[in-house]
Amino acid sequence: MIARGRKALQSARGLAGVFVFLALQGCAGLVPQTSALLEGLPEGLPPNVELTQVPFFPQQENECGPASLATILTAAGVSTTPEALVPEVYLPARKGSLQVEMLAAPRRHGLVSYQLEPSFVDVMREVASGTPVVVLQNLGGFWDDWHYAVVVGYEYSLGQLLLRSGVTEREQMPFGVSEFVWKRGGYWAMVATPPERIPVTAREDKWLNSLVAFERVNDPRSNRAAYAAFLKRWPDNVNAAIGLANAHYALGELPQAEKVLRAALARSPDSVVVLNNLAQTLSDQGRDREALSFADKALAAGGAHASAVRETRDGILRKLAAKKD
Amino acid sequence: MKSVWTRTICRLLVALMIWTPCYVAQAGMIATESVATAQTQASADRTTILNFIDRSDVQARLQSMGIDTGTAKTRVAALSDTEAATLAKQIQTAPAGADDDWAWVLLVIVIAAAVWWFFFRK
Repeated sequence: MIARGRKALQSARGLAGVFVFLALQGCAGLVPQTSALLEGLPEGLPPNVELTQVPFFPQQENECGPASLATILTAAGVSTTPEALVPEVYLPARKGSLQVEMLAAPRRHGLVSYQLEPSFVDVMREVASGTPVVVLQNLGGFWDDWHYAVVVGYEYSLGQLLLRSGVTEREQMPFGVSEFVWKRGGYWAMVATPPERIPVTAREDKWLNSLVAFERVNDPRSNRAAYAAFLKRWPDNVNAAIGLANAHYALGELPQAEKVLRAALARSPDSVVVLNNLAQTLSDQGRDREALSFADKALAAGGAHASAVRETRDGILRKLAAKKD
Repeated sequence: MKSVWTRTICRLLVALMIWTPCYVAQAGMIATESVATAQTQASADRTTILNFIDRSDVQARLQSMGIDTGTAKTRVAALSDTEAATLAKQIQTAPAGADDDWAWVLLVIVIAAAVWWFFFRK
């Protein structure tokens, strides 16, 4: 983005927006979600939302990725700047930032990233709950012009979204135009939140996948908090219980790991992974006889983890044999 | 006094640790990633692809796009297996958010030319 002529470009962009909007008036099929939205405000959404405390980082040339990311990271309590994020997400040869890397970067700062459903209302719900949303827009006319912007609010009566975008601190964009450029961006939207603060629109299985990706680059203490929060919202999820137990185990909290796994086993008595991990946890506490019975059950169940189970069982058998000697 | 060989082996082990996919976090314990991935991936062949994703290959691709070795390594490390596979496949083609204002200048010129052509041309 070049400073010179910025004003002219802004108004040019606004003008182009008006053109697009007028074109859209006649063809509601192009923006189906907006058409549905204009029929009435969905339940539970306030008519006006603006997250004024979300910071603004005017972007440097082509660096809307780092700028958008810095905006939502700072809003989530991480101290960072677009410049600091350039080495994490910017791809010089593509002069931009890829979506997968936009999702990956927040994890390195202790946040969980989550890709929203392709739903306009979900974006509004996230903003209404206090979470700014990064959206991918395609602003090009007959060509591709990719751009990341941050949704920080909306005014339903005026029918417009409020965004931090490029060098504009408070961009007002009609719902129709917003949806049109967002639709051309594949309806791609993401949020990044601390693990204890699960996004309101998060779905159980997708949030679990987000945590699994988070776990890879974070310490067991953060993982423990993340899975504990997950189980508070979805108490019956066995995989999250396995995650929590693994975090306890990694921290050397074996009795806690055992407790979580036993509770999981009560809900899912045939889970090979729960049986295996419980066996290992018991064995590490010196209770190899008890451990062996669970390892045997796990082995009998077979499945994809058979070789790991066999290893666990062999380890237990070795320890039992050593005790006899 | 440590020999050169000891140090070399140590370095090699550290490198291997970094690059071993983090499937099993601790000996004997089955990691959450392998559970979650196996259960959510419907098709078997997709799981196979994910299991064999070569992260050093992804890293090399990032390097070829102008990222230095160390940075590429940490960037790949932050990706889940699914994401690493996606990145490897789409690094050339996936949309990369980047503002190109000249396109807008061009659009305005085209519109202005059209307005002049239809309304002001005598």
